[in-house]
Amino acid sequence: MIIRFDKVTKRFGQVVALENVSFEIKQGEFVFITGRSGAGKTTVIKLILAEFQPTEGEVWVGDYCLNRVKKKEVLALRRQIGVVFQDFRLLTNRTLKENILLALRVAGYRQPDWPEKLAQVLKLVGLEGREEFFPAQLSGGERQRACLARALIVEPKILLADEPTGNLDPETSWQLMDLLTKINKKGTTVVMATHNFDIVNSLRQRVIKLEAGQLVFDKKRGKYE
Amino acid sequence: MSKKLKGGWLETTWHHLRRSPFQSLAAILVMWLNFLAATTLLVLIFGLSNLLNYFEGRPEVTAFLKDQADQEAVDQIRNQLSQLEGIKEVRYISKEEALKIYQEQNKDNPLLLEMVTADILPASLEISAVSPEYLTQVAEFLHQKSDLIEEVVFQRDVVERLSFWTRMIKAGGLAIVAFFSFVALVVIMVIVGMKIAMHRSEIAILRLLGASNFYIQAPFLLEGIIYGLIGSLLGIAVVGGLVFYWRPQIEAFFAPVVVLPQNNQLFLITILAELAVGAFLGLLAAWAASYRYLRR
Repeated sequence: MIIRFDKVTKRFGQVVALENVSFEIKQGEFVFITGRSGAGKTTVIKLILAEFQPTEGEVWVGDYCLNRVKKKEVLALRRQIGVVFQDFRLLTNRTLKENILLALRVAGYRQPDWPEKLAQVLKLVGLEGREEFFPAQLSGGERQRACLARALIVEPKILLADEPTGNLDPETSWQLMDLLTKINKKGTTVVMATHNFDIVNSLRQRVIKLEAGQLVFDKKRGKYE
Repeated sequence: MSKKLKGGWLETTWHHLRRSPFQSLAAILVMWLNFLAATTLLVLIFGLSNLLNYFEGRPEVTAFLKDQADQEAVDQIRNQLSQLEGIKEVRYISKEEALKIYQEQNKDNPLLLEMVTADILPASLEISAVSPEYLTQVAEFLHQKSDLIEEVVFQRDVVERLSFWTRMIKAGGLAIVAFFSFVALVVIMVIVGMKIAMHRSEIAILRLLGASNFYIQAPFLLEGIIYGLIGSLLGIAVVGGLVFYWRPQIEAFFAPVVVLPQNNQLFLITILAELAVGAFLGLLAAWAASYRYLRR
């Protein structure tokens, strides 16, 4: 599933969030979107999720042109994309298991398949035995892994991560990055917005840098500059 | 669909109800009030309609004869009455027959029976017509015979009064029920709207996961239906319980007119219809509340 931005501009009233940005991300790539706060990283993530449409230019995700996509197609697209946020966004009144299974339920998976999938994903993120815990009973790192488990259980083709290490200590951040690398190696495209230069510089993956809404550089095996 | 209902929507609805029980209680109470009024109205209309039908189905004028009226004069009046248009039957009730009727009506009260003899009861003429519109001419004719007739009892007044009250109760009751329904709709809309606002972040997460609007809306719609069903059921139960409790007294008071439904099937249909209306009202209110928020 290819992601393509073609001369994309996004304005919110007078504020220009992105200006004439073009790039293409191929299936299976690991891409960092870097830049300062307000550079337009989250806008890129939200455009891929079709939360809004570009003001100018075109955004393509797979066969969907998000400028002309129907509401039903947006839902179908979102079921193929996993998302991880800095603030986790777990349902506080539901157990970890219920939070993770919510993604399967929404995506319409058959109920007999749920236990096996749940066990697999919990093992992958290292949260076995925590199924019945509520988010408040989990540490920050565990919550982020729970969020990742929810994103991964539907076997997404693309995983979007918006500052996933923003609320984590360095050690937990690296554990999460190991997981993301492992997932990427299985063929999932990972697009991660971050301003954590340690991670970006150490992993040496493709880096797309934004500054004030403009694409400053797009390098394979890039560094945070 | 059923798995979604069992595992997802019902569970979410239960969470919503449990997390804000007083809001749920307010919604149920307002629905209960509405159906309390509606069920009471239905019972009243049913009873009044039966009373009206009873009197309309028996168009009669009763003329009580003076003691000095001789048999020949009475026979002459009977003949003249029989020749009037729309007259079905003219029956003469002698003093002795009047006493028998009186004794039958008061057979459980020996004190009343002891005090009455045939002499103090008047003989009478009972004139039944094919329809109530012919009663006026009969009454006018009888009033002309005041030398022989003591009193004319005419059902038109009763029928007119009953018709008036039936119309008034129907109109007034419908207005009250319409007003209560409107209040119930608004209250449930506000409550569901508040609940949607409380679950903003949950809805945002569901949207990101690709949930359809209907998937997100369904627990709120179910909630509205539950308010409607419980509210209407409570309304029916209270009025039904009271009617059932006082049934013997009500039936004895209005006898021989049957003012309460005797048919269980009719009872069941009424209950089901009220439940359906309650569920629809709750659904409509929840849908209206969620529509604006979720269709954006």
